[in-house]
Amino acid sequence: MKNPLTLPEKTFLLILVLFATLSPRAALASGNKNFQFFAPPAEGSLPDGPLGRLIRKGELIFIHTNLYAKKYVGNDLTCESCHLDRGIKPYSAPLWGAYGTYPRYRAKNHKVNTLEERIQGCFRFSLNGTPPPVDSETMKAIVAYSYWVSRGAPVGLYLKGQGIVRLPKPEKSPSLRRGKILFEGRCALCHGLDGQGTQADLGQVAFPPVWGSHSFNKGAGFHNVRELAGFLRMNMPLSKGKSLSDQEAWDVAAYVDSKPRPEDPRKKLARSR
Amino acid sequence: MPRWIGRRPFEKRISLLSFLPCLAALFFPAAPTSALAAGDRASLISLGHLIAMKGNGLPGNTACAECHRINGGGMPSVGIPRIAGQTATYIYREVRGVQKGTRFSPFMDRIVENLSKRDIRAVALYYSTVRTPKLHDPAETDPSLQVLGRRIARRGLWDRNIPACILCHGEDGRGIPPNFPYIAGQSKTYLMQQIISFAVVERKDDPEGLMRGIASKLKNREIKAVAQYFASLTPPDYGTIPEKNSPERLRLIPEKEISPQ
Repeated sequence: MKNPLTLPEKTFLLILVLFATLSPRAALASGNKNFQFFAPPAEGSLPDGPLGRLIRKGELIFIHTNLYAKKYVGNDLTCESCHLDRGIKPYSAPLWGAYGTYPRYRAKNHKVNTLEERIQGCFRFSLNGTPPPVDSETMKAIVAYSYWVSRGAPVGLYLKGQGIVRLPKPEKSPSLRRGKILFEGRCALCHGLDGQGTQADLGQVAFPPVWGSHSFNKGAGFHNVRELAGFLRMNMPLSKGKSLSDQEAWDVAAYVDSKPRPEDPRKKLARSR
Repeated sequence: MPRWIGRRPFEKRISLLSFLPCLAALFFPAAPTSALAAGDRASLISLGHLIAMKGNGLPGNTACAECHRINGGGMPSVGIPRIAGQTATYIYREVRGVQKGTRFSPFMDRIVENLSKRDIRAVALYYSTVRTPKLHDPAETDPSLQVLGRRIARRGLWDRNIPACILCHGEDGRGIPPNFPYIAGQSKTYLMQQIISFAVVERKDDPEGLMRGIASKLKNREIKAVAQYFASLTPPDYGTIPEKNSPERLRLIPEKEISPQ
């Protein structure tokens, strides 16, 4: 059998192959070896000038929230406590998954939220503090950093790894007893038997408290057992994500959420009225 | 009337009197026990010092100081770790690990064979109180790997699910007491040896297999880079805690990160 492809056919195939490699999906994954998730811009490619400085500040706020956005934070958590790897790791609510999905209607506050309002929610509930004003330097820096890590991500589309995994309902209803045993065996090494986390040599928070007055309050997304279970399933214990089964993640999440923590600020408001 | 009936109330009084100290102990337990603990700690440390310098006298047990040196600085040239200022919990766990065979150490297993748990606790406590400066590390370093080492240490390789080292080993590798040892200022030889021994599961005493998981995902080049990076840092001193917002405390964030380029 002689070569069955004529020249036009060959060029057509070549163009097809080129298109396949340059398709948005492949382009999104460029830079990431396993071609799975959206890859944010490379580290060294930060622009110079005012925008670059603002982005860098946002990144620092992300890592050391207690230091760089001190007046807005009311507990011992940082942005990175939930948004792992500076808000880049898939399945831990990465910024590149959030940036293109706002504005969005949220049932939590029954209105259309902008990205800034969503970030204010983080500060109010997860960080148990006061929301930074939309025109504050802190908010601008965080938005600038979110913009930077989402550069090239499509707007309004679902991306693999965005948000937090929504686990199916467990076979057995989550049990606090099993959750306690699991927590003491697998989580207490870092988060402590009392759930208060661990402090490092200079008193800075190394592993965040997961309940009590220094943790997120009852209005936070993680006070929802399903959300917390989804996060634990994919990310905890650190570096050994997916080592808990769905059922185990539900159990631990139910146990952690059964513990005392600061009241939901919305309820406090309602009561004072 | 038999004699014992008349004696009963007296006996009752005696028994009540004998209960009083117990009651006192119930209500004021702090004072006597803490004094006892302080004395116990001091005597444990002196016992630990003795074992560190001379061994405990049983066959096989030579002085710890033979290899780990008098002040626990170790021997960087042959990869014997510095243990000065390492937490007592960690030293105890590791020596027990060698005894139980979960930590592979062909040198140490014969030496610690005859140490009792109390001996280990004593020696661990002793070395946790000792301070010593960093010793010279003769291992060759490759300057081109320093950037990679710093990146793995501070940022991790999350696309392969490798978190930053400093998340568990503390800012600049200064450790997070009591369970996570400091690794800053250990010798490059020792650090590489340990990462590899985690990777090939000769050492399996790490809680939850955290280090085994991470080490097995690292490539040779990365192991070299990260070992070299931590070997180039200064070991910590847990002596004093700096004031809040003092320059020492703000040293947590490297200067490069405070002022953006």
